[in-house]
Amino acid sequence: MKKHGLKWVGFALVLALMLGASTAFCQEKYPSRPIDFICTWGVGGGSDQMVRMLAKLTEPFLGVPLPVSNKPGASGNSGTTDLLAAKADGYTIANYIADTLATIPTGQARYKMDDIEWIVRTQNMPSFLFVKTDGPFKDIQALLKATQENPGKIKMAGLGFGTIDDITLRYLAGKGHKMTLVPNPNPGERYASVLGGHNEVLYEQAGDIRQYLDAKQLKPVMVFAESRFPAFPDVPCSKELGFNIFLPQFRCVIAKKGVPAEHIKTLVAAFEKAMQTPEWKKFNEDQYADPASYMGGDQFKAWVAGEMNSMEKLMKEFGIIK
Amino acid sequence: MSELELFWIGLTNAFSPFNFMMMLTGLTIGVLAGALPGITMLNAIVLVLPFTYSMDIVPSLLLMTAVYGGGIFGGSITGILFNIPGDPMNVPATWEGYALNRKGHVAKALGVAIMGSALGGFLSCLVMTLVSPPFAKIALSFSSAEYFAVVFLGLVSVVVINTKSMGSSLICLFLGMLLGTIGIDDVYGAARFTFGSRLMETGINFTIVLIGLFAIGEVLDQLCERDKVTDPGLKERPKVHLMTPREIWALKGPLLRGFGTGTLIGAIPGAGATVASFVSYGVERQVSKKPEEFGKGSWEGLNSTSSAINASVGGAMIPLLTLGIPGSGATAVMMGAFLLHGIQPGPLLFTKDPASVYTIFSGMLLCNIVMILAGWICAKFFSELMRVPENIMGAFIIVFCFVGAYALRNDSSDLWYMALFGIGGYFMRRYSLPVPPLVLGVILGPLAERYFLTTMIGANNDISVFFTRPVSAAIIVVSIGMFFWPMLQSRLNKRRTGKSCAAA
Repeated sequence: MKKHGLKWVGFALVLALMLGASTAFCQEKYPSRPIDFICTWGVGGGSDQMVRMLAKLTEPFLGVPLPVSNKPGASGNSGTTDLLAAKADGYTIANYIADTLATIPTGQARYKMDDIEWIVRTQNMPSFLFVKTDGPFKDIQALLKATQENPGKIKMAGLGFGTIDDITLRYLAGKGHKMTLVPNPNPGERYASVLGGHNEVLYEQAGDIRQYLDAKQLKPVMVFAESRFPAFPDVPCSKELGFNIFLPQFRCVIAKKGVPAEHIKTLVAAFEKAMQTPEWKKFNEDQYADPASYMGGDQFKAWVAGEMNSMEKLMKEFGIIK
Repeated sequence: MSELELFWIGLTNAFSPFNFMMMLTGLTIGVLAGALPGITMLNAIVLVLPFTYSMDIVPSLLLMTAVYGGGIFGGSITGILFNIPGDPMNVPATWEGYALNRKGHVAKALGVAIMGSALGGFLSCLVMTLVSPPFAKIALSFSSAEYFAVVFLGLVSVVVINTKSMGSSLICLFLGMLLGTIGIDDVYGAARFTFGSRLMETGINFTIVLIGLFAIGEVLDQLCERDKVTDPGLKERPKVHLMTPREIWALKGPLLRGFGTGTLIGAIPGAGATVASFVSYGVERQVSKKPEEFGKGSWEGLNSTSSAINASVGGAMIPLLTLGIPGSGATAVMMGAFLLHGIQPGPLLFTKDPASVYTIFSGMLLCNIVMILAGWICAKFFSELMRVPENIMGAFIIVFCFVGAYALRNDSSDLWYMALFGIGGYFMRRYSLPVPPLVLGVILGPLAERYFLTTMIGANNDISVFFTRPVSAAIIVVSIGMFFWPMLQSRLNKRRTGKSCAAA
């Protein structure tokens, strides 16, 4: 009787070991549980739409859901701070945009570029200058001529001082085309000021003002890029006009530094597949994002570093930072 | 297709079971969230947004506008019953409603608030349905100078309303504006009053100040007074008396004036329901034949502000639907809902998908009528709570406050701020300092600053721009007049009584 009892105990032990081994094996497989996706901007905005679309489309390729939570504030740094406070196990990721990157050189962000694992660039959106369709300026030539004749008289609606909008404007002023920046962080009021004719020029990405472009209320006159944008083949790019400033808006996915390299590889592969789906392609097209937005892994990391260097250089040049 | 035909199609769509259910659900969620201290109307809209992802655009829009309208009204219920306004726009309704409650008119006060809100909302939706495009054009002709003027008018109304002591109102208002400057400013990106602390950089959220000062402060105050004050006749079964047509007719003036100010101010970006509420209340007091009743339970004041807050909903929807410009926090979230469904609100919406637009229009009209029912049910439910002992009620209110404050942005430091403001609110009540100017300072201060700076930058730092633009000049002159009128009036009165004394 006693012997039998021991046998059972032994059997149970072996069973437990096997179970333990199998769970250990399961843990090696990544991902085995949901991945938290922090959206660093508010509900309903451009970043939120991107994050929720990407989470939905990536789920089948990872086999786990990616629940989205919003943590807006401090130009995207509140959410980024949360990400950096979490474990570097690959189960917390966040989105990140160019405006947040601009806070690293100014010192507003308390982390460095190297604290972040740059996973994938999802959207690359060049910025444009827009004017009212029935306004005084027919094209970029007319606008540039007016800025030369009356420096500072033309008003441009944009974000606050020290942002990418401001840097671009200061660059143009250095080339002899001075405009006055009228800052307003509220996008709706910014667009209304141009539609109502209170400001002449708007600095924005095309996807954010699609309704006014479709209704022919606003038109683009210049794109800040090295080549023309496919959707607007008649709109000259800044490079052909001799302005070597680009600073595109971009949205991407990041994780905390220290996530195992294989996990990053899994994520990059899954996002790449999600971004090849027709739904994503349509979403990107609707937002006027660059069709070649995808960029992953080391290539993307090098690109971000380049973007930050050019921002830092321009900020130093214009005395925004020391 | 003619507009009438479209409207008819819209109305039948709105009556489809699913759409109608969404409206009723939205109204109930809205009124409950608005009424619960700690959960604001805006929180409720943000919370329902994810549920709309799998729906069509029409029911999701109806759900959200129902939450919007219901949420704006809901805060008046707790204001009238417990002296705790759910949102800043419910503050004037709280003053009059709670005073009427203390006088024993609680059932009728709730009824006037419900009917005022429903009728004001209905009329403004009618304006939205009939004259959206021309109205939108007027809204577009306003620039940041006019935005500033309207916010300025709001600030002046808050100060003028308290005639007992304008000085203490001004002190509280400026204190609120000072608190509003904490954090990184929008225009220059400069850190102000952060003392180098990371926690302070995002600034102090006005909802935290609101919950702390109004809800927690009031609960602390009531609990301390518990032994001294006996509740007058709270143990009987509470009722809600809706207004009869004759009563509505008797109060038609305040109702229409509230609707007018509410719709106009609602259409102007930035300010919205809160400014509309205070301005309509201030205006009503100026034109009223019984100004001495204000603050002590005035039906006119209660009706006017109730009508104005819900009229601002229709006003705010006009720039959203016709121009694609969200003017308030609530319409900004709705804009997100449009975009998530791949629809761009704006001028093309009317030509591309008129059936949807008219379904939204007729749905919103219907919503305001259904709100009488939803408001009545919720008011009844909350009135039952008046029979709960105050200390138990207070404990629940505090729990809701903490939940709501944390849900705002998942940040535990907000809870500390809220507790601090709660203690502050208690002492402000003890030393009879007015709380509303402080809250309004936190909300409107940063707006006023931003519009002022934007206007000045656009006008080469020439301050005369506020007076050369006719609309902004008119609003600013009215505000200044409103500020000095009470002083002038008392001076005149003194002289008159002085003369009569001399004659005698």
